[in-house]
Amino acid sequence: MRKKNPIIYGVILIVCALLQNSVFTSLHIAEIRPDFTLLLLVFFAHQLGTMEGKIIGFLAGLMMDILGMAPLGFHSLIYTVIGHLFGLTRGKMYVDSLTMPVVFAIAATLIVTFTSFIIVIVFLPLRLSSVLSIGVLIQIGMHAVLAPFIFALLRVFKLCSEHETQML
Amino acid sequence: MEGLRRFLSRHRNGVVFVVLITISTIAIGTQSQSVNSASKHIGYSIFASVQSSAAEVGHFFGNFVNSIGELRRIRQEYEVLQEKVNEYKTIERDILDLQSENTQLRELLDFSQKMPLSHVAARIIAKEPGLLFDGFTVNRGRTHGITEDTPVIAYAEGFSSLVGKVVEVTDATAKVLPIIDRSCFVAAKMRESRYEGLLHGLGAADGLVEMTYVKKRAKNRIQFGDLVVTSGFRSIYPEDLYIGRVDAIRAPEWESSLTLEIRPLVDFTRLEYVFILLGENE
Repeated sequence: MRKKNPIIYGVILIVCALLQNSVFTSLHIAEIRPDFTLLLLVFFAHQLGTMEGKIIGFLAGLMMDILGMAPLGFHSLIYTVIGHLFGLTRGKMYVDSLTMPVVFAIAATLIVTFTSFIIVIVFLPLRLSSVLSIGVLIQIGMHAVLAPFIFALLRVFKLCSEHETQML
Repeated sequence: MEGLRRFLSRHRNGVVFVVLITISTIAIGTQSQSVNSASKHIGYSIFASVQSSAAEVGHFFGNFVNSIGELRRIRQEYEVLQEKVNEYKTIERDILDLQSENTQLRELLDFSQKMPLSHVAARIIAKEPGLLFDGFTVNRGRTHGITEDTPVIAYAEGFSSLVGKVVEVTDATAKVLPIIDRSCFVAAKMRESRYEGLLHGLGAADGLVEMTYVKKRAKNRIQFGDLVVTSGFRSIYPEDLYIGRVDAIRAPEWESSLTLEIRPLVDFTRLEYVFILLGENE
């Protein structure tokens, strides 16, 4: 399989992380905002593999940590894990237009929640209720709804290829 | 050393993962404010301007998209307001009509109250559609005390002006023959000079009446615009009801009398209300 250029994916992801903090802030339901960077990272990692997945995940997370209120390392750790795990699916899973994007999105959100939970327990003086709240369910729903559309969009721009995935 | 290189080469993926996780963990773990805030601050100061620019661009596009929606909303509001303006224009016209009618009716009421003759006010409900006849129908009839040959007057230019006479009566309506009809004759006189004559209509097309049998010697004493009134001499019409003003004077050599063209005070094309005279007020 012909490998994609990870730099393009990395730039897109970092730009998305940048925009998420500044431009997409008005997109929310009950103050719960979808994590577009996470969704992109999932699909990009699936396209690129573990090595590139975790590196672009780390960089995007670092950007979010710098620009956001989270402590440095928080998102970079989580996105590194996400990039690594979904990079493992490269060539092992057939991603259709609907089901697998939804499954990926739900799984990614749950992993993020779980990882955040661990980080909060170990490092941060935050209340666990802020991690495990009804907002997680809303965000899972949002990601599940958005994932097929984002995947379709990526396919349009040839950033994700269903065919190549199937071939592996 | 060679072993380490081989190990790193073989487990490159895992090593990178561990390194990245370690860096992140250390970053989180070293939450001692000075270190963390300093490193974050450096990164933030680098990317803040980029973030700001991105936000500005996003804001611009957001405003642009919003302005499209705003434009649509304004257009809808404009259409609604336009409809309202049209509605109000119609209402304004109605109000002006009502004001005009109110003024007219007030004048008529005032006129009616001051009139010394007993009368019935009536509204014209029908007019002759053709050109040959000039009658109209009013909404008062026999039940209101109206009989045939009853004089009909109207308020015009501040005068009680002659309109015509009733020629046919039903219980609820009456037909009126106006003075402009060719078959209507009225004994008339000049209000100032008191010269008498016989007046008859010239038809609705002209809207004029003609006064004949006026003595020729009156020629020098009759002016354009002089008022003509009913003479009351052996007539169904009471004396001194205004008819019109002199519009033209004709004095043919071969005739022994003058012929005057009289323009009625009443504008028959705009006549709406009339008064049917019943007799002297007690």
